[in-house]
Amino acid sequence: MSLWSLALANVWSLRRRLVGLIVLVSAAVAVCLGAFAITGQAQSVTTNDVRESTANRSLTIDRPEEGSGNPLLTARSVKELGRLPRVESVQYRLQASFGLVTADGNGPLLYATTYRSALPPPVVKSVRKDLFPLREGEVVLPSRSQGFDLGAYLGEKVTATTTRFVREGEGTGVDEPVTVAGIYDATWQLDNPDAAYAADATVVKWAAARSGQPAKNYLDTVGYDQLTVVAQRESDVPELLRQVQDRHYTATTLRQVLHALPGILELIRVAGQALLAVLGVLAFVGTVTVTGALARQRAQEVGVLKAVGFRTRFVLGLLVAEMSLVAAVAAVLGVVLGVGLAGAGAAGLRTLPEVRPYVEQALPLPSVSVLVSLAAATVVVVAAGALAPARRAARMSPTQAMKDW
Amino acid sequence: MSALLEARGVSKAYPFRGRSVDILSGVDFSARAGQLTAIVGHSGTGKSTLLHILGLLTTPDLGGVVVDGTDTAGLGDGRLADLRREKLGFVFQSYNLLPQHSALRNTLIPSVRRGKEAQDRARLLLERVGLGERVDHRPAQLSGGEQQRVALARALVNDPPVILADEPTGNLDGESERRLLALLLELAREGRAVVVVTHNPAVSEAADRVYRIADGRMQGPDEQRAEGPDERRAAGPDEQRAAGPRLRKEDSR
Ligand SMILES: Nc1ncnc2c1ncn2[C@@H]1O[C@H](COP(=O)(O)OP(=O)(O)OP(=O)(O)O)[C@@H](O)[C@H]1O
Ligand SMILES: [Mg+2]
Repeated sequence: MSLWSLALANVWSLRRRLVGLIVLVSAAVAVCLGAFAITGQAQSVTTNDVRESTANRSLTIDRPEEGSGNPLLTARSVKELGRLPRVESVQYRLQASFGLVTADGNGPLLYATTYRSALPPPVVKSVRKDLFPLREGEVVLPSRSQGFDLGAYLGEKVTATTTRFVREGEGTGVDEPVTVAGIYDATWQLDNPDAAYAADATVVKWAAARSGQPAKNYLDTVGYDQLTVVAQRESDVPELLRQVQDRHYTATTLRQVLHALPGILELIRVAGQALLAVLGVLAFVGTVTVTGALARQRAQEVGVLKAVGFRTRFVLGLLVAEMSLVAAVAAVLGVVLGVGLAGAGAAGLRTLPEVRPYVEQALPLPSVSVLVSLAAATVVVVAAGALAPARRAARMSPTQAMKDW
Repeated sequence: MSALLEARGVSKAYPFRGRSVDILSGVDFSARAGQLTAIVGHSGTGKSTLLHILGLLTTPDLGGVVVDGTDTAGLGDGRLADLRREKLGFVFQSYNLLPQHSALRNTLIPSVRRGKEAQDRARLLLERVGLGERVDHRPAQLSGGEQQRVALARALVNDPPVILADEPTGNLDGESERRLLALLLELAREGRAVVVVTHNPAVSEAADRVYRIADGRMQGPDEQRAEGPDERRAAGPDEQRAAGPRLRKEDSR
């Protein structure tokens, strides 16, 4: 008989004794896969939405220090930078502080912030589907800020207290009603944690009022807080950075800013990796033990196979092939279980608002490369675990193995 | 007459409590095509040891074994395994079937053929040993005698020129014993060298030659049959092996 058909026949007839190993290995695969699928999806959500698409291709330019002589970030700068080669877009950000007052009393001090399509915040709840661009008088609040839980105010009218310039060093508060049109995940740190998004006109109005400048030409006289220059390709970034700095803008790349996943997902990811190691070792040790025990029980069989003319290599190959088949079955089972586990895990995580945007797909499917490498790793680990005991068994002389007389 | 299997000056000792115990010393042996050769002797005299040496399962301390013209001295494990597979069919004293597999698969396992051809041959052999109805039974579901016959079918699956059987009639009743003996003789008459270790007088009487082991020494062989070259039996149509001589039974001693 050929090696694989005999291995298959053996695995089938020994299936009851192999169940334990299959359960162990498939559980290991399932848990790892579940963790990988969930965190993989979350990672790809952040990656796709932000990292790869724009943030990694972006430069940010901050408003110059007063008296530094560096150019202001005006509407003209936006045009000038937009004309540089290999620039995809130039986006601006303006912030103006305001105090939030709700029906429950004074809330946190927030920064009204203009929305940049290249760096959209992860919106958790909103009053309508296409939230951006915001209308005048609308704000999008962080889910939490300065100890205040703001998620509950969705759709409600609140008051924004802004400052109007009176004279140098003195201002007066002005109350203005605004509507909470959306809530975003407060772990989003790109525009600082206290950012509240508002329509451009609203932010300009508040910023101008605060500085005592007319809103009409505020963007030419004072300018934006920050510009984001998005290059066409990530590889264009260094050259673009040089050109922007040549024009005396204080530019930095955004790349390093965005690495963090929400804490719980980071935890799952680290746990998944730790589990992978632990379970890998477990699967290996399990295989060594099971193969060793089976090989001892089957020494007679090994002897018989050698006695009827199989070479040592064949017997070794047979024992390893059997375990590889077991591993393959366990891997398939583990993948099915793992997808189920990931689905259940994602459903559980969706109940946590800050994690929700990252696990929105119904079934987080791990990427093909993860699947294939995990399955391959399973087979390799199990086969490697089987090797030493199998070699010991296969090397025995037939008579020694059989103890025939 | 050609010796298909030959042992020359074979010695074997086993270590026991720090001492070396000689089991076989300087044993010569040969088995010829077309003959049933018996090895007899008291229990513990080394019959199984010799058969295992002849079957290339154990290496002798001294001396060598020649199988179908191939001197096995100094051959590597792999080559020895190949010879076992192609030239030797071994029927063990305790059958040594694989417990998890059916009679059919047990027969099939050493087969060098593949697929349907192998299946057909295995079925044919099981029918020949009278187990056509038991092909799907596992060893635990077979009697000792039936397991013995599965072991014989397995030994025949690659149609080896040499068959070695250790106490093949050990667990059989009179009728089964007679049938097995007839089968062994038939296999010999088809041109194989059939070697049996036996305590059974019926077997040694039916054998063409008998070796006796006592005190580690070999006596014999006793030729029990006159060779009648004019009484050759033609080989069967499916067994094209050179037919051995047909032998007339003379008075047993
Ligand atoms: N591995 C071994 N180590 C030590 N002694 C052994 C070993 N194998 C066999 N012997 C000894 O060799 C002797 C011959 O054993 P063997 O099995 O060849 O006898 P036998 O003639 O086949 O006996 P039986 O007719 O009872 O089957 C015995 O005394 C046995 O104790
Ligand atoms: Mg014996």
